[in-house]
Amino acid sequence: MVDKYDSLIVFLVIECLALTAFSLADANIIFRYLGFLISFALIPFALMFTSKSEWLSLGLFAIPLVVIAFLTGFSTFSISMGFGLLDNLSVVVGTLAFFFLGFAIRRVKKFKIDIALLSIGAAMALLVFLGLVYSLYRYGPFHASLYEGMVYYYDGRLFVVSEETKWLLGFSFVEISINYVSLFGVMLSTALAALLYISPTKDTRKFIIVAAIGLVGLLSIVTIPNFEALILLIPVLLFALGYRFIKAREKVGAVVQYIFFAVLGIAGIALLVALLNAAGISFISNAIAGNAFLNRLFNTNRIMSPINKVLRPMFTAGGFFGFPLTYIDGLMANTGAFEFEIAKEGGLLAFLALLAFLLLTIFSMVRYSAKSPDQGHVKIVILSLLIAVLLNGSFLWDTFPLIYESDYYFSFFRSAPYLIVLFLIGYAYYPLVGKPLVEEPEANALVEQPANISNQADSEEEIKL
Amino acid sequence: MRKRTAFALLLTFAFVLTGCMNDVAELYEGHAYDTGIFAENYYSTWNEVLKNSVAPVAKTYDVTNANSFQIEEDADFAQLWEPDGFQNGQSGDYYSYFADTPHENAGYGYGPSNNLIAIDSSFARGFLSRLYDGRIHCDGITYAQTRVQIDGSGYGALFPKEMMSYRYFALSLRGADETDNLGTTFNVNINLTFYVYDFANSLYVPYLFQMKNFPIMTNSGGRTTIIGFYFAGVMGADVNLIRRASGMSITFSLEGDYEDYTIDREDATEGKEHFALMLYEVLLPKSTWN
Repeated sequence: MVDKYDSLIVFLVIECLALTAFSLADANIIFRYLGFLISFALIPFALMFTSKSEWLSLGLFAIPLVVIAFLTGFSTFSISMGFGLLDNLSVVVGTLAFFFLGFAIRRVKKFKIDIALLSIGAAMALLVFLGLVYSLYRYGPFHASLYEGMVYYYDGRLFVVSEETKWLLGFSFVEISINYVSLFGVMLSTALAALLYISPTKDTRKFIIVAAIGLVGLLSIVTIPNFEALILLIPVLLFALGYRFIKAREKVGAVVQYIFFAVLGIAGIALLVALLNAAGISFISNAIAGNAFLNRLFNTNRIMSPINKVLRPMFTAGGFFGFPLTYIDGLMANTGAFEFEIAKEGGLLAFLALLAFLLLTIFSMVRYSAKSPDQGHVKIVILSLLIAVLLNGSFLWDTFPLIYESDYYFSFFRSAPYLIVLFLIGYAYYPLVGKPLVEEPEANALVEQPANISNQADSEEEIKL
Repeated sequence: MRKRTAFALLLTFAFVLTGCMNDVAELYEGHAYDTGIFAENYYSTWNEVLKNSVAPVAKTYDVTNANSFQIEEDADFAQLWEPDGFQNGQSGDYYSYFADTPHENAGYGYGPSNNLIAIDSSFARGFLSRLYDGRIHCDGITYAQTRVQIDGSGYGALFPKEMMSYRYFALSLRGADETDNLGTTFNVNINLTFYVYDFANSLYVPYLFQMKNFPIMTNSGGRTTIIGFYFAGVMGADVNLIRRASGMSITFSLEGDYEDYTIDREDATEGKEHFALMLYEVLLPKSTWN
């Protein structure tokens, strides 16, 4: 019964992902509802191929996501921005639906993640390619370097030409910040990591398609050029090379784990101090204000200054569930990081929920990376893409990317990349304890998974499709 | 299949390589004409073709107090021919001079309702978009970025399109010097020229409008004087002569006893103050462009 509709459901999911990736008509609200409707059809698959312990693990994992979904959908911010009930509701259902789509579609035997990734990549590449060609036509190549700091006038106002490029938004091209476009470029560039696993001679067609998708992304960054985005690609590249070529992964993994926990500890303490400082806990804020070095570190540098403008209102009664329009300083503060943007949009609880979700996702992805039988090129693309979005979203996210309408707020949590990332996190979700039921031998037999796939993945050989 | 792909790629590369690169065609270093130093901010650019490919003046028209209007307060909008002075474009209240800006209220106020960018978006690009954006006086937001400072030799520019129909001309401006002499008035003669391209001779044919002896608010902060005239009122039966005008220039001189002042930006005579015109808006309401 369930099996009968496999193909249709797979088609709908891929269609939904492709439309979202292409941002057709900039109608993310429609894609969120579309994802929500399709997710209903996947409930039987999730029920059939998910064990009780998995549900429990998933439930715990999803708690922060549920908080994020509700608080980014309905908050003081979203209400005062006047997004509208349907739009706000779509954020709640869309956030949960895209995660669930990823989680549940894995349980449909006819679903092939390769096809989904190629569809996402091709759709997004088309979007980026259109912008790339038009940008080259209007600015020529390397305009951000050639004309760095130079200005032009439009509508009687002054604009810096090196900060903008062209982008297809809806049905027309607009001038938009280079960092916004580079997020899409970086996502596409991660496709190149798959080439480490695909043979150009044995699987030429696939190699060319994946290379084309990745190159469109890379070219969209290089031809501007956006050096900051390129720099942030270096860690992704190092990860991809390490993932592919380091044989003694367990040994290296242990070292990486130690480094990760050390960095996490330091970052956690720093964040705690920053939060207490922003909350106005007197002994902390006095100690910081009284010490030149600490004051510079937590108050007056160019990174912390906007972050503090966001964190402080978060602890006030008016900003606890997101900022109203009257909190103009906090709203306009350019943190460049979606982790802090959520404080504007959902308040303190959403901020904490996002941190928890990020941590759980990292742990889940580590397990996915080590234990999932997915093919090597699939895993490397998904993980590289998530790392790339995390880095770009944490340093280069632009909340006001439209050049001529500089007060138009772009929410990361209402964007197409966010939905794609949620889908991939859902797909790659790996329970923090135990194995997914679909990977058990009995379940494998049930879903008729070809037995040789896991063997291929284990041996890290290139895959023929 | 391969041929098609190659053709598509070729087409794309041709498109890019022959790109107009319009968006980097007119760039400036930093805040051009907006340095805060009076002497540095003169805009004296004349398009090459208006310097080198111009026929003798075809016809000169005198614009005087009798066939022009001058607006400095709300009631002055009554000088415009009906219904041009009304807020809703038909009847009722006249425009409010002070409620004109900010620009974000496009469509509200005289400037935002009649500016050239609102009529045709091709006027939006370039430094002179300052003159087409609807900010008819200082809006308290963009300050010096709103205006274009000229000396007596003025500027000459091509329009992005040809003017196909027109009703009246208006210019929002004030005078400025570097003295502390605030809130004064200077009498100014303005030479406004429209250029129509003559394909037969490959020359731009000028039609000169001599706007004589207009008292202009000077050193008035953000306040401006709007002066203008109706083409039909000044040109009479000739009104169609400037159809297809594709360029415009403005120069000026002072009318009266201003021997302590100079309108030449290069004049370094000791004891002479430099006088400039601050142009805020060039308006051709209800014009059409092709």
